[in-house]
Parts: sequence; structure tokens; C-alpha cells
Amino acid sequence: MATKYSVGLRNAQLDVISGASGIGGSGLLRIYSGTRPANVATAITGTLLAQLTLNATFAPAAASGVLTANAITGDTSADATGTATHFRIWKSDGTTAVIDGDVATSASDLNLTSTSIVITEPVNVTSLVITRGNA
Amino acid sequence: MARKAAAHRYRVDDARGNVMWEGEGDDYKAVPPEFRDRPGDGEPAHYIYQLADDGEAVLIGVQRSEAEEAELLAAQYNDQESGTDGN
Repeated sequence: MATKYSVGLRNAQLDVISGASGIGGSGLLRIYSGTRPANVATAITGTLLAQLTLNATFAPAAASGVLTANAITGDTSADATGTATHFRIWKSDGTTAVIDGDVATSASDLNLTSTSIVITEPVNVTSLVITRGNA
Repeated sequence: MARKAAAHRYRVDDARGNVMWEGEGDDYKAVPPEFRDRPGDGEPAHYIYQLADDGEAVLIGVQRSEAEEAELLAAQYNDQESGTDGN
């Protein structure tokens, strides 16, 4: 059986994501089509559809083992047409990858108003939520 | 006096590593639209790199034609069906 962590410990682990050793301030959310890479260290192969800048403070303190990102300003003009399947969050330097996740319109890590991205059309996030496992 | 945000450098290559464009800007929208958009069918894919401070070129996205992306996805699907390990 996997190790189990208290709520307090899971919250503390999640809060690290918002700090300097995680995303830090004003990270970049890049949304892609295609196949999600095996892990964050694996190069992206998908088509870059849109880029959004995360809040200067990524998220408020985690609660109940869940970290919910602060509001994210939409991308007013998508860069390519395609179906969004996954995302990667980078530090504000744009070259340090931090988190990979799935994209959908509900019940996913990143939820968009639509996963059908159309070039020059807006791209808007409804929620970005990270749940710590090992509960 | 307001500080200007540091510009980032970007480069676009084709699949063979030939540089198609290089320049800088505050974010990757500095890359000309013709390289941020998908190429047409039969045209080379655009590999978009951001250059890190140490000079490393980090691939941040690939713009492929719709036909090439469909072909790539089909190949990946076939690999999964046959249980082939990438290696």
C-alpha cells in the first residue's frame, strides 16, 4: 500500500508549487494538441496552440489537499487551430518546465471553455486544479 | 523609471535544423505569425525554440501541417496497439 500523508502535509507540499522552487510568479501556461509527453523532462512534440500568463501569485494556500490556481487571463488570439489535449507550465523564463497535465472542458487538471482551439480566436480557462495524491 | 521586461530570444528551425527565423521579444508571440501557425500540407514543420540564458535551445512547440500531425498520431496509436516500446 502506498504511503499516506496527512492533509496538512499534502497542503504544504502543494504550496511549494506556488513558490520559487515551483512555478514562482507569472509562470507560462502553454496549451498543446497531440500526445502528452511521458513526463516533464520529455520534450514537447505537440502543436503549440496558445500561451497564457499565470497570475503573479500562482495560487492561494492549498486546502484539503487541493491547490486551485488564481484566475488566469485568457489568450486573446490563439496561435494555431487544433484540439487541446495537454498543457505544460513553465517558469516565467519560458524555458524551465515545471508541470504537465491534461486538458478538457470539465473534470480535468486544466479545464477550458472549449478544447477546440481556433487560430486568432480567444482561449479561456475555467479552472486549473492540482490535487495531491496519497491521501 | 519603469524597468523594461527582459526580452527573450526565439528561433524557428525546420526538421533538419535549418534556421527559418530568429529574433527576440517579450513573449513567444514575437515569433512571426506564419511560424506560429501550422504550415500547409507538404510544407516543413516549424520547431519553435526559446533560447535559455545559458544558450540552450528549449523546444517549446512544434507546428505541423494537419496531415503530418494526423500521420504522427496514427503512428503513435499503432505503436501502442502493437505494444512496441519506443526505445
